[in-house]
Amino acid sequence: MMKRVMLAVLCLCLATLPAYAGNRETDGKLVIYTYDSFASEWGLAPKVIPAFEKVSGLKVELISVGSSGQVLQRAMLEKDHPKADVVIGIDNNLLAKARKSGVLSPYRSAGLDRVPEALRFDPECQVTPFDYGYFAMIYDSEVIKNPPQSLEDLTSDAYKKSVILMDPRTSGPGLGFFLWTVSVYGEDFADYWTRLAPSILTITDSWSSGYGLFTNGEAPLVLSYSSSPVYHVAFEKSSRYKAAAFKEGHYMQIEGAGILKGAPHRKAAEAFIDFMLSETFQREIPLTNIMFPASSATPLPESFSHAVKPEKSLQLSPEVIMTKSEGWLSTWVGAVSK
Amino acid sequence: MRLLWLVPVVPTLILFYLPLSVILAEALKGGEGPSPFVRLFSNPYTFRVIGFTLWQALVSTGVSLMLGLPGAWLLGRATFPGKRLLKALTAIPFVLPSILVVLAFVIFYGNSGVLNRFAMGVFDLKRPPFPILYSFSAIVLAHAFYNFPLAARLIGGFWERHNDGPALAARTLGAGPVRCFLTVTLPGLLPAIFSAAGLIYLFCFMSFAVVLVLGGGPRYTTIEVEIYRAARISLDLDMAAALAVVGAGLTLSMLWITVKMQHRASHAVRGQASRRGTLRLSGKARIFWGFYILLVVLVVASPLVALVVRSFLAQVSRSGPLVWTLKWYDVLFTESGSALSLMAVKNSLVFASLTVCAALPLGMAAAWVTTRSQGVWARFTETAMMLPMGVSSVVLGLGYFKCLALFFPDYSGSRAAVVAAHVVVAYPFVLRSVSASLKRISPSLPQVARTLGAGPFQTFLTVELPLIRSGLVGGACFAFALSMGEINATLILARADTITIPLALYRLIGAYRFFAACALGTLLMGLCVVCFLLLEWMGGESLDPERE
Repeated sequence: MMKRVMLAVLCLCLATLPAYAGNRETDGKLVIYTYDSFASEWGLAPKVIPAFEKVSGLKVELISVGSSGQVLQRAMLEKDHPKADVVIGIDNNLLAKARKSGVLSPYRSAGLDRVPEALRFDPECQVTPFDYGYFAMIYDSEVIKNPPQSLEDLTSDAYKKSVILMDPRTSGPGLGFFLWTVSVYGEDFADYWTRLAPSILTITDSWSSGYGLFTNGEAPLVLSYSSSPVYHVAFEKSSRYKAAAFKEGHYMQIEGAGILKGAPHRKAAEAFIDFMLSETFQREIPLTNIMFPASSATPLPESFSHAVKPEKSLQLSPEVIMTKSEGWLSTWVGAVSK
Repeated sequence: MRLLWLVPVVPTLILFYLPLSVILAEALKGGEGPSPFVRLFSNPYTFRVIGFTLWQALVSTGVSLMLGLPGAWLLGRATFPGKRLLKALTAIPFVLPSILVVLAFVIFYGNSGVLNRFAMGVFDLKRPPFPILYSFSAIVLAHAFYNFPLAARLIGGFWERHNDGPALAARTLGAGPVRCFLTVTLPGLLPAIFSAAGLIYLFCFMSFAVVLVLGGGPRYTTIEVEIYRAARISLDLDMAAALAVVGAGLTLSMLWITVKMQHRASHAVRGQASRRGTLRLSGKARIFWGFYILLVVLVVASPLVALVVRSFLAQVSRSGPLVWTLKWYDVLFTESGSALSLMAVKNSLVFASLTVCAALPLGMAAAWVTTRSQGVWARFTETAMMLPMGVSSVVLGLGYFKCLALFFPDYSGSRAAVVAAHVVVAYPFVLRSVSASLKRISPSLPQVARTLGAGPFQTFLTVELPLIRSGLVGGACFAFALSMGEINATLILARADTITIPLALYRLIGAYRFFAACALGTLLMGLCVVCFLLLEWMGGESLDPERE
């Protein structure tokens, strides 16, 4: 028996050896921190990064550090000795924290002129917006014939145990929906959540598990983005899942990128921010990130007729979010734990 | 002998305690505002969360152990066709990332899942008859899904070599089978039971996504949720560290108790090392075990089978029926090039194999030194070496990151670091699965071998190793499984372009490709079963009576 073990272990070690050969080093590059679904093989990176390398002649090192919160966290941890040049994924909910931490340095790209005023969420230009979207309830049109038309409709008996939401303590969209209810109901949001509770099937830890439950038919309503139906239309040729338009307006998410203070490759970083607002980058956003491109000059593909673009968009100011959200969330936990 | 202490202790210190203390020191040196501990304990919510975390872990551990005991007998003592495969399947739940476990549960147990739809179809019902999910019992069920195979495996490995002498003596003296089991056999198994209980408790204590989603929301919040919130959403490092300290304190004290109980319950077997023997199932016993296996199938196998089946199904038209297809597998290998999925498979296998190769000697050395020395110090070391499983990977990840920035400013990812991190998480499983068997070996056995002229190494190889082999194989399987499923440390420590199977899985899901993720999950499970069978084969002879 010992011989067999020895033989097998030997084979294993030999088989794994080649993995350790060759670690290459690169110079004259640009280092970017981003969230995982951007860097993913199914994300924007493989579509846009090679194009940027080609036009700029720079080598890009794209490092995925998890969620967008982790992107900022990593930048904060490295504040004294920044290793990255650009961070991608600072949204309107993180903006105040990013500004307070003082890790970013301002840069105004010329491309910002093509971005509508309403999207320029950082007047100091520390963060440059590159895409945006609206949170929305997505419904299964096979099950729901009369979709809800407002947050209040969701509390109706007809949707008992039919709604999947995400936890604002652990998920970005969850926080977005929570702030949506705060911006509509103000300080009375806890009452709304108490009324909403019977309609909620479950509150998941992340968008991924929530949307996974929804596509498996566990509930006919899920929190997602108003552009989510576009994916199903464009890639699955199915218009079964639709976004419900709410009359009180939809809460907005704006995603941006910024240059780190003390970035080792400042010039390259500026070139990349310019590139993010260029035609080449922007036109990939709709069908890859499934979001609206920030530049108004970018034409939308036809499938975007299935995305709801609300008349009224809601937002809370970054400063209010930063100072108040912890307190609000404590109230929220009390309201939904009953 | 003295030097042997260093083998398990030094890597644990460097790979676990150093990063942990760096991040704790960083976070707790204090900034503006009140101390995070004050903020934490001035809120009654904290106590509710801690109370619930402890309670759900306790209930889940109890249920897993109760379900696991019969399985332990089956794996340890019975012979039946397909036993090796069943053994190989016990570590499968640990391979899957939690999101796939949640999906698997929903596909099978969900309100519109297989079970409910079937019952609604048969009995013509309007509402799903089994509202199992989104309740406390769903949490316990999911934890049992992970852990009762683990309990069966660990206790079974011990039972295999358990001495039947005392039990037979009790029967001869007139004790009934139940009394004999409760007063003789069960106390004899206690070391293994406590050993498994410690692991299971830790696992349930750290549970996060499963509790939130299947429990039905924030009513059921564990400490891990709050750690995640502080570290990833609020970016409140002080709070995350404070919570990690509280959590580690609680798990340490629980571990201390199980280690102490295990020591108290274990006793070396005098004279010969216990006899080994297996029973062939027949007659009435078959019916009982048939029921048990049915239960196993319902709890563990069916969600997994449902997941596998789902990966072969797709809708062709908008509201048409599901049809069999390989579409999702096709997505895996064509959409972004076949090289990618192959790369992920290769990386995962390399990491897991190396992890096993390192975790086995490490875990074995740890078990050996802690069993061979007596007293508080040994127990303390054993507890301290188990802690890597009881500290949030979210916090530990930050610690790694901070350490790298301190000591290797030019770090840009390395495979060795990933393997090291996997080893730290995996070897407690090896430690736990062999320590109970090691403690049973009477010291006189190796002493005899030494008297007869064998060196210490030879004694270990020829006397002790064969007696703990079953536990070793089990430990290797779980170490392999943990490494295959690991994601946090990989994300932080690997080079930016290193992709593993669970990483690819999360990315697929993040890009709306849920069913392709099911397909990849199926691939992952298949791969692991093959590797587990290989490990079993390397572990040596089977216990079939025919071969005696």
